[in-house]
Amino acid sequence: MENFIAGTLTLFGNTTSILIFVGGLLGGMVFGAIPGVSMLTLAAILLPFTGHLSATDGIMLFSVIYCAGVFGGAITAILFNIPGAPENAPTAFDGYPMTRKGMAGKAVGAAVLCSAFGGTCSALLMMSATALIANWAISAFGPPEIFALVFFGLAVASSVGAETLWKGWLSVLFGLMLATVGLDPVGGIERYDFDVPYLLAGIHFIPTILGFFAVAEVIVQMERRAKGTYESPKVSLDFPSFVEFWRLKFAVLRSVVIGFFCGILPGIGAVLAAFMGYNEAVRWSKDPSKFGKGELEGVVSSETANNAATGAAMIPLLALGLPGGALTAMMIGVFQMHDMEPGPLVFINSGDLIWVVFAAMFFANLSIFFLGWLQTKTVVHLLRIPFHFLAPAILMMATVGAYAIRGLTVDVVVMFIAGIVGFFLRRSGYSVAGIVLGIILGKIGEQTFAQAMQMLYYDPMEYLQRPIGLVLLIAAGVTIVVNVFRALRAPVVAARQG
Amino acid sequence: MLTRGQLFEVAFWLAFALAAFALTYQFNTDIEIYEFGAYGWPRVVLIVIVLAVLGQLYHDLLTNRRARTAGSEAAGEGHVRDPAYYVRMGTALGLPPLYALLLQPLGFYVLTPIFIAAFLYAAGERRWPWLLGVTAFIYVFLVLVFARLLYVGLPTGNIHPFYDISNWLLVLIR
Repeated sequence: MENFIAGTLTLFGNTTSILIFVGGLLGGMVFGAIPGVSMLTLAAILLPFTGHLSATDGIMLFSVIYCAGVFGGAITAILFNIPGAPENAPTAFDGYPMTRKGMAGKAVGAAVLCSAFGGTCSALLMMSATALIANWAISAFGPPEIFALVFFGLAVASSVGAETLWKGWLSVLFGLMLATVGLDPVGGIERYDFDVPYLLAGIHFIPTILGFFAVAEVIVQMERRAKGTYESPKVSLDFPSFVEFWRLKFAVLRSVVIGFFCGILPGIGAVLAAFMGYNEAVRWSKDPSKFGKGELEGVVSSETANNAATGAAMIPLLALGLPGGALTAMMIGVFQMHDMEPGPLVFINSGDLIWVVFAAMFFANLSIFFLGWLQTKTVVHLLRIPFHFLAPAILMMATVGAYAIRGLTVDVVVMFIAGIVGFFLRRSGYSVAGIVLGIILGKIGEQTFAQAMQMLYYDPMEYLQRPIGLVLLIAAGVTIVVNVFRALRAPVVAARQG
Repeated sequence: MLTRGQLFEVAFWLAFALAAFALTYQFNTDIEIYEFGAYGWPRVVLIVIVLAVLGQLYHDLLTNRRARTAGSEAAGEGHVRDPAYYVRMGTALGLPPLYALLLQPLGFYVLTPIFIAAFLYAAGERRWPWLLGVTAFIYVFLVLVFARLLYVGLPTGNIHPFYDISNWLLVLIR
């Protein structure tokens, strides 16, 4: 506790640190909300300048950007169906339908509260047992377990958002196939690139997400206007009530656990956390058919989980020097610029720095609550703008977002193609969320599968020696069998009842 | 019996799976350190796609039979709409890819205001002050935020005189 107080005093003890804290917070929120130009862009811009800051301020700035950036993308996901980052994609599944139903204030409010809660819990867990958790996670979770986790995630995702289970599976599998384009992760062999150099690097998931969500949504709304069935969303500023949150307490706690757990795993992080949090909410629900149509629990589960992953992602970085994602990898750069190496020695040699970072993350998450509350009362008014004025602005923001990642106009073409394909797939009852998850998890899944097979000498029975992986594989198998059984029986039962 | 739409979907997925499976023979070289090679994973995914298509086919056949016995028509067939609907949808679906294709040669700075105005017009906006005002507002906002504030290097085009105009604008903005 005294360490935390000392860290807090150092953080708020001088004006420079306070300014850096506030700047990182606002910058993270703004950049997180702009699709394509994510918190990573801000971090990359700021990285060279951190050399002029003290090591403590530099690391603290990045940790605050991380917390705020993960939350920032939820606002555009809810209001316009444009996830600011991949980890906000599941938030759009129910957040945007809530906006269409005139419950935007409630959805944004839930995102604010849950992001702050998830992040704060994660920060507290991080403070209490970083070294212990890091050692456990790294020793217990190898490629076989990560593959089993990905497989479980895909098995659950297939039952979300599509008209039938089969279309859900086709969506996820289509995403997996798109992820195979480019060089294979083991031997670097070219696959499905048709001798187009652009395709060698694979299809980037940011343009596809922007296409499937933002562009497809604009086309859907344009179709409604053309049919004369368009209705502009009602603007509401209601905050979710305490009773509504109390009803969702298990969903929130479950998502904190899932988010924290996924956050610790290198390379998995907030994206899988958000999808898993959402998927588990669907799986545990008494009425899964409510999801995707504006269910508050969907927003709550996704936003709690992705923010709960932020604190957890710092654990392997600080305790073992292993970055879990792009932003934590940049943080290693900040350490190195100050002639430091993250790892167990940091706790001994620079304990004060660590506790300033912990305190900054804790207060950043608390600040999200207050700044987010202000956002709820202000940004929701953007919905008063007629959609046909917003549509070109959304398309242009998405264009800049897709282009800015790699400076390639082909990414813009890919985005618009994804938008048109997404429009037709949505009309036919497929799940664009499933496709996106397939693309994101496809690469991790194939890579960890290959590593797992090499580690297990191509003998699946070796999984018997790895209880965590075994449990996850069994859970995935049971999910698939139960879902397939239900899907096969559904038309028969309907025929009997009809 | 299947509806035309359902038949198209089944045919599409089977053709996709078949074509993608055939293409795996282009990269079925062995990898020394990995038994399943680069082709193993996509082939398994494609086989599961075929199984899922069969599942959907089973679902469609049973659902359609029930619908037929109940005397209802399958949904989504035979809609005849106002020609204006097709014009609007054609524009909504055609304009963005056209913009994307022209982005490289003509550049963002020249093409964007034209695209925004055209899109607004296609969306049904006919009031000229609004058409020009909204176009100008979105354009100026984008340029100020991305080109001036964030220094995002947007395409300037590679054809004369668009390239020169874009660079002149960039100098003016920055």
